[in-house]
Amino acid sequence: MALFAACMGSAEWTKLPLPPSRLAVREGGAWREWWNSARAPGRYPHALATLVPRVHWRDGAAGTAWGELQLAGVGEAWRTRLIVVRIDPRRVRFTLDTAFADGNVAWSLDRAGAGAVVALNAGQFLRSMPWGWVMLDGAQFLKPSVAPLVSTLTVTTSGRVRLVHATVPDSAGVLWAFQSYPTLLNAGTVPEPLRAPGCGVDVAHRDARLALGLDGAGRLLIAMTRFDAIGGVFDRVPFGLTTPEMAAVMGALGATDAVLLDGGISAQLMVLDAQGTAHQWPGVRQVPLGLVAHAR
Amino acid sequence: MEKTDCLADNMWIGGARNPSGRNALKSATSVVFRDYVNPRAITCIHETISRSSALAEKKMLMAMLSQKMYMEQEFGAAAAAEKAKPTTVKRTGKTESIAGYKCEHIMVTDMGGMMRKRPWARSIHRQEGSPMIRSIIRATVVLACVSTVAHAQFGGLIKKAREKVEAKAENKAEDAIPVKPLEGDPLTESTLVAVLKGLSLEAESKDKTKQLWTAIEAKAKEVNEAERAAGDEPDKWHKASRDIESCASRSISESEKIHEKEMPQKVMALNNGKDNTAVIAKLNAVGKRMADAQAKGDTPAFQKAFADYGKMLGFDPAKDSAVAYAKCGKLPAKPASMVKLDQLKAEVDQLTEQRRAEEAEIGGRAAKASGIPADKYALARERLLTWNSEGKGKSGRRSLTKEENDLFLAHASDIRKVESVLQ
Repeated sequence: MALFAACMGSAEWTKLPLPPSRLAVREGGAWREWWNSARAPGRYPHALATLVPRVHWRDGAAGTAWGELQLAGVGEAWRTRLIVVRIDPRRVRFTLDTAFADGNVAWSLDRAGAGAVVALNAGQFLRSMPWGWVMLDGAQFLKPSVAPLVSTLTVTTSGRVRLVHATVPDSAGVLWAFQSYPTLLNAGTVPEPLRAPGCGVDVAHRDARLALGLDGAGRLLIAMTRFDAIGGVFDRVPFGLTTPEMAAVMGALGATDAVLLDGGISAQLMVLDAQGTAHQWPGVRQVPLGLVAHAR
Repeated sequence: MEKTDCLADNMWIGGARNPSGRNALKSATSVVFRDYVNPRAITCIHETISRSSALAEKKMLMAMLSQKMYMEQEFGAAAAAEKAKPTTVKRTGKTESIAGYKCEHIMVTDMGGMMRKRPWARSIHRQEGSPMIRSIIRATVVLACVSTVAHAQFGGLIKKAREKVEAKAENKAEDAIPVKPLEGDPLTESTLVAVLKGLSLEAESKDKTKQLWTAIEAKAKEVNEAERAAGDEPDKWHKASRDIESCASRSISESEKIHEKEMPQKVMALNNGKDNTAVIAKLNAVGKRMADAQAKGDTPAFQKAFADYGKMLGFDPAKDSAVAYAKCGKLPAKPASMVKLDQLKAEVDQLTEQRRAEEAEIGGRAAKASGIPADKYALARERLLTWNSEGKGKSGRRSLTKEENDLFLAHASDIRKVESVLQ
């Protein structure tokens, strides 16, 4: 009860601190600390998008851009590679794809197809069924779920992409939709449960992470972490950042709204570069739902 | 490299690939790797480095104390395809006593682990002198400790060694943050037994969810057949309805605009100087109903609350709708083929939701049956799943501790029984 009271209390001094951690980015051969749990911002205005200029952006297909950063954190996050993809929704056509084989999940990057410019696992899932609302090509596949830290990504018939938090958006005109959790940023603000321990979100657990967000210009941002030791040999090992750290990453990448997707051994991402070469970061297991972007 | 035990954090173990390093290391019976980039980290390997078999076998190992875990990666064909570059393993002569054991610093200059692409293919010493390379070399200083200590004593040895190194590291500001034990600790015998209990329950319930899946598939086939049978009737119905719906939509919008215009006057009328406490309470109540319904995603409840709210202000959406369709004409009746199709689709939806609910319920019961907290159950389950997906320790990848791998192998027959749910 005391913890709960501390979470709900508005006074900052009543809150327990985040587990001590910090994040540094490799820049010109040196590590520069850019985030510290002791001074973690609660809001990410544009001025705090400190990672954006540090990404060496490369041209992807259909107006996408992607790049990588080396991060160093605490514990097992000491070497973490961050893969970032930025998509202009006006240049691509999004679809959601499901795959089951004999009742088991069967979606992986292999299913993205030749025309895909970006593909990744979408949402969260239980054993085989996606969690929360799923709209497939304008038809509801699964009913929505609502909770304070649930975010819903919708793609309308006109191609507009929205990320709505803590409520179910109107389904009118929605072609594709899925839900995930927890919300990392809501209109630039880090949700309270991600700012202190004991508020319903495990703020200490480290894992490989995959997050999705929208920046101020309406571009979709995808960020994936990979354990980055020994030249990426162990990149599928599910070590990485905490949830508050991932909120910081998304804020520092310029996201105003963001949500975690299923990370760990589920996380998988493919991006097609401008030369047509597919760069893949596969997952260990298959999932039920994938988000795929095709060139318009 | 044979049996290993790693009690330190974030550190390379091995990583050299060239047999030329063999001679320099073969006499060592215990090796401590210290990460000079992250001085808090120290990795200990014990037991015999059997003629540097790891080097000959082209294996790379990495340890993380915080996870009590090491990972093993075979370079395999990729490495074999690369031409071997010479590795330099230089005995520095500098010695240090760790936990009573005399250790010698050995410089290994063929561990380009910080490089992204196939680091083992690079010859670091060729670039010696650049700042980056110096840091890599610093990171790969090895303490080769001559030791004949019995296996059972290694725990104490390594603990002491770690304490010693950690004590040194404490002075450095960069490492002031203690690394707490992380979630997802390796499974112990008792945790594995607990997880297997939960998985057994999941496996027993698998038939039920499988039946639901079969039912969904069968129903989906019916939908396909019904769609074929309906032919172009749905398209014709939608086309016929579209004009009417557009007309009705315009009419409703016009009504809403009028309502918006009238709104201030109607609100003012409510606030006419009389005691309007009851009206405000009623408005608040209906407002709360709308907010609750929206939060729950309960569209019918929201629509009902919204209609009640409108009625309080003198608006009636149902009436507006009736007026609209009276003006634009009624929607054509759906043909029987469409009614059947809608019904079948609703049945698929219902079965799909049922399956999801079933999975959630089984998941909850499984965690409960395991006797460990649900989040710990989920993490332990994923650990076992990872092991299973990595070929039960037979593949080149191994993301678990050796003890954990041995434990799983010892319980292989039990694990096999629940393999159907380890996906």
